[in-house]
Parts: sequence; structure tokens; C-alpha cells
Amino acid sequence: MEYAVNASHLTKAFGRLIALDGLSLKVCKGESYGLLGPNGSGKTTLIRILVGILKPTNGEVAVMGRRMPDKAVLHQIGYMTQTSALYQDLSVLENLLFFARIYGLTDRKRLDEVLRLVGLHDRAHSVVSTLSGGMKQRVSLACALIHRPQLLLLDEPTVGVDPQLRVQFWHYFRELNQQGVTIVISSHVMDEAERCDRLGLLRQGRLLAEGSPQELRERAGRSSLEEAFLAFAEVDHERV
Amino acid sequence: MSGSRILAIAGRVIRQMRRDRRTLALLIVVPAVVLTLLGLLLRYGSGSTAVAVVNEDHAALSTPLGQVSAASLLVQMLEQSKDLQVARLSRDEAERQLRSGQVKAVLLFDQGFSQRIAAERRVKVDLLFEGSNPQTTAAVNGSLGRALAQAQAQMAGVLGGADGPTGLATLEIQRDFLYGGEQLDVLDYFAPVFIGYFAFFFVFLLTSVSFLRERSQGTMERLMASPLSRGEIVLGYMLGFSVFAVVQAALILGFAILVLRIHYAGNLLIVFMVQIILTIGAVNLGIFLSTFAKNELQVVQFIPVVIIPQALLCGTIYPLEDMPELLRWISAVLPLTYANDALRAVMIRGANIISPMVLVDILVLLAFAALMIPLGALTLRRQVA
Repeated sequence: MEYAVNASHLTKAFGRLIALDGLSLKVCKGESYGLLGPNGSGKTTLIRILVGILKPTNGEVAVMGRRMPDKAVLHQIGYMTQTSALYQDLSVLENLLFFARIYGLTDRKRLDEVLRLVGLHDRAHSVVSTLSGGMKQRVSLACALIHRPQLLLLDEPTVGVDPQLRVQFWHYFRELNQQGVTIVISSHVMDEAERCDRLGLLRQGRLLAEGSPQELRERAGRSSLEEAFLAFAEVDHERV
Repeated sequence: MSGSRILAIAGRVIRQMRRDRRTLALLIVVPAVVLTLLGLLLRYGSGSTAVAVVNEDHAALSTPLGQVSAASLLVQMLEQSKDLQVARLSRDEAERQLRSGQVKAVLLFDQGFSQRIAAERRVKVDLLFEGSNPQTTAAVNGSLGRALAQAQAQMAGVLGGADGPTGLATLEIQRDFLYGGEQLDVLDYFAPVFIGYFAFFFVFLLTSVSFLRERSQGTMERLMASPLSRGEIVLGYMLGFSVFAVVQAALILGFAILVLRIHYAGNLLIVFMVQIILTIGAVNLGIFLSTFAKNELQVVQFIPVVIIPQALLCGTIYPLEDMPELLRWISAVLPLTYANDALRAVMIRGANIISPMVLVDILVLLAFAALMIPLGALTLRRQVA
């Protein structure tokens, strides 16, 4: 079968710092895959390689069946970071319109559609800098979705987002999954990881373990994901 | 009030400043560099002005020394003036050098000069100014007037006292202007270059700051993850800021012409063209340099590095031809030098696009822009990484 993401033996070094250490990753189409790991484990580096902003020192990445970096694939990718990455002095609608035009979209109805999806159609004309942090994250998600991407790369999208909004975000993500959209999401929040179809546990640029949350708990023989992660990390630590 | 709390703040400010090496360096280096430049300009700038003398006078004065040309005597005396660099040229050559700005004025003694001194004791001298810089004109006018008066007095001595043939002769100086005219004032001289200067300054600053924001607010990361190419980003920025530069140029020009009533002789379309090319260079210089700034303060720090030297060395305030040789080499690599030259040529001298001076300026500005575009695009990768 064709994978949405197929990365093999990725290594990325920043000077002497090894951010990724021979990591391989396969993400199936239509699933939501969580990258779980502490700060500095290589989550952001991995996502930035997947989106083609960084070049790996070694290894290869194919996204939607095309070798990266490939500008043509970027039409199919939606990318969102933990900072809202919006033009603060433009209105919500103006931000959306800008990104829509970057992707060659002329359909005004789509703007309305994504605004409704994130529940901000009544704030369309508000200047972004006047919005709350949670609202900005919702606008940011709207911008990442505007061009109907087939693959969503989300780098800690719910950092600083309140629990209610986080539940709402997952509601959108599930809906997108059902439409066949693949989601790769990085997080260090365990309850968020619980919601993914499959998880990859990341530590020091390597994949410790992979599987559904249920499988990972069972394999580690622990009752919570958090403890399971620590157990895997300990085994890894002894091995090294 | 607590002394230790106040000291805590003072200590922290000093600690932070010491960490910011670039600001510290700027505090020391910039005043030194600017003062050095000013010192070189004001103390070692050339004090003498180049003028040409065309002497077509037939020797026609009988003196104790034989047949003598009064004009030749005057020229010899003028050559001793410290304020002037006198070149003896033919009429055609003098006119050519006046047009190209190599000499700032031409003093013309026609063939009947000596004859009329002998016959009428009253004689007309033609003085043709280049005229595009009113300060230079005034300076040449003063020096020449003084030198002529002195020369006349000396000549009277040589020729045998006040009773000699020229002792009582009156020189009537007939002033004429190649460009501008008597009414051209200092404002007329400065207005053209300020159009270019403001455009360069603002466009450079605005681009640097907006690129910095693009980076710090994360939108550059988003753009890099979109199908946009680096070239498209750079061209988009260029187009956007060129609109403002043209509007700004139109406003400054409109105000200068309609309200301040400054002199303009040439095609204003060329002024806009120079403006746009200069803007393209400035946008890309801004993109390029913004990579080396971490915050807005560090962008502001580029002002003394990029903006002040160009104000001092590009003929914006201080005329190029009066600068010491060393500084002229520096000014030759600064883009504003060429923009200033082109703007003055068009607005004061009425030059058009095919005149070689303007054409060279425009080509150099195009080359600058062409050099900065790939440089700006290249640094885009660093903007996100």
C-alpha cells in the first residue's frame, strides 16, 4: 500500500547535536499518527523535514508518494506550528485570503467554510492581534486547512490551548480523518496522545516504540501511557 | 526607595548590554567612523575649484615690454589664485568639459579684448557657469571676482602704474549659466537627491522590519511550507514596496514642485524610473541584511551602517568632486551615488535617458539591483532554519 509518509533512516545533525538518529517512520493514509516525546526529542525537526523546510543529513523521505523536498507535494500538505504564525495586523479574513491565494484558491465559499469549521465566522473582520490565544490557534488551523490538504502536519498545535478547545480541535481532526485526511501530530501531552490511532514514542532522535496507545500500554505492562513511555525509555537507556 | 533595588535594575541593564556585543560595538565604532568621515570631508576636501580659461585675445597692447595680450597677463595672475585650478582650453574643449562637469566655470576673453581695453578702457568678460550647484557657483563667483580684481591691480603695476593702459580699465563680468540659472538656490540643488534618499532609507528599513516580523511571528515558516518559491517571495515584496516608493516619490515631487516651487528641467518619468530601480535594490538589501538582525533594535542598528555613510559620501550633502580621493573610491561603490547623480542630471540639467551620464547611472543601479535580488533570495533559506 502507499503511505502518506514514508521516511527511512533519517539522520539530522545540527553541528555536533544529533537531532534525528536513523529514524524510520511509516504513516498510513487516513490515520492520525502521534509523535510523542519530551522537549528536544526531535519531533519538530522530524516534522520540518517532512514538510521540506529542513534537509536531512542522511536518509530519505517520501510524502504522498513523492520524494521530498518537492514543491508540488506542498499543495497537499497543511502545516501548523505551536506559534500561531499569522499576520497580526491583518484581520482573520485577510489572513485566510492571503494563504488561500498562495495556494491558488479563488473560491470565496471555502473561506466561509473553514471559518465556520473553527467557529470564527463572527470574528472574520477582527484584527488578529485583538484575538485571544485560543482564537489565534483556531485561525492558524483554519489557514492550514484552507487548501483542503490531504496530509496535516501539526507541530504541538494545542500548546497553550484550553481543554475545551483541545476537545474541539480533536473533533475537527476526527472529521478530517473520516474524509481520508492523514494527520501527523506532535505532542508531549499524554491525553492528546490517547486520541491518536497510532503513536510513535520519540527519545533522543530515535523511535523507541510504535503502536496504538492500547498496544503500547500492554507491551510495557503499565496502566498509563506516561508510565509506558518511561518504561520504554528505561529499556532503551540500558541498551545504549 | 531602596538603594539595593535600584542597583539591581542598574546592574541588570549593564549585564544585558554587555551580552549584546553588537550594540556595544556600535556605541564605540559608529561615532568614531562618522567623525572620521566628517573630519576627512571637512578638513581634507579639496578647496580649489576647477575653472577653464579660453583666451582668444590678440596681443594688442603696446607696453614698455612690447606688444602684450592683456588677457594673457590676466590669466597668468589668475593661475596664482589658491582657490582656483585654472586650465587653459580651447573654446570647444572648455564647453565640453563644462557640460560634463569637469570644470565649474569658463572665463572667456574674446579676440578684441586687448583692443577694447586700449580704446575704450572698459571691457566685457564672459563668465559661463556650469550652474547646477548654487553653492559651487557662488564660491566660483567669489573666487573669480577676487582673483580678477587682484590680477587687474597687479597688471596695472606691471604695465606701469595707474596711468598705464589697463590701470583704469573696468572689467564688466557678463555672467551666464549653462544649467539652472541665477535663481537656482540651495533647495533646488538638494530636492532631487532627497527624493532618492528617502525612498532608499524607508524602503530599506520597512523591508528589513517586515521580514524580521515574518520570521519572528512564524509566517515565514508557513510560507516556506507552501508552494511559494523564494523568487516569488522576493518579487512579491519588491512589487509591494515599489508601490509605496512610487507614491512617496510622487508626493515628494509634487510637494517640491507645487509648494516649494523647485526647479526641474528634465523628464519626471526618468525620475520615477530611477526611483523604482533604487527601490528594488533597497528591498533586496533589506531582505539580505534582515537575516543578520535578531530583533527590531538590531535593524535600527543598520541605520548608522547603511544610511549615514550614504548621506555623507554619495553627494547627498557634500559634493562628490570636493571629496578626498580615498572617500571618492568608497562613494563609487555606494548605490545612492549613482541615483543622486542621475536625479540631479535629470532635474537640474534636464538630461534625458540617452545622455551617457544618466545611462551609466541607471545601468549601475540596475546592476546593484541585479546583484541584490539573488543575495536576498539566497538568504531566505536562512530566514527559517
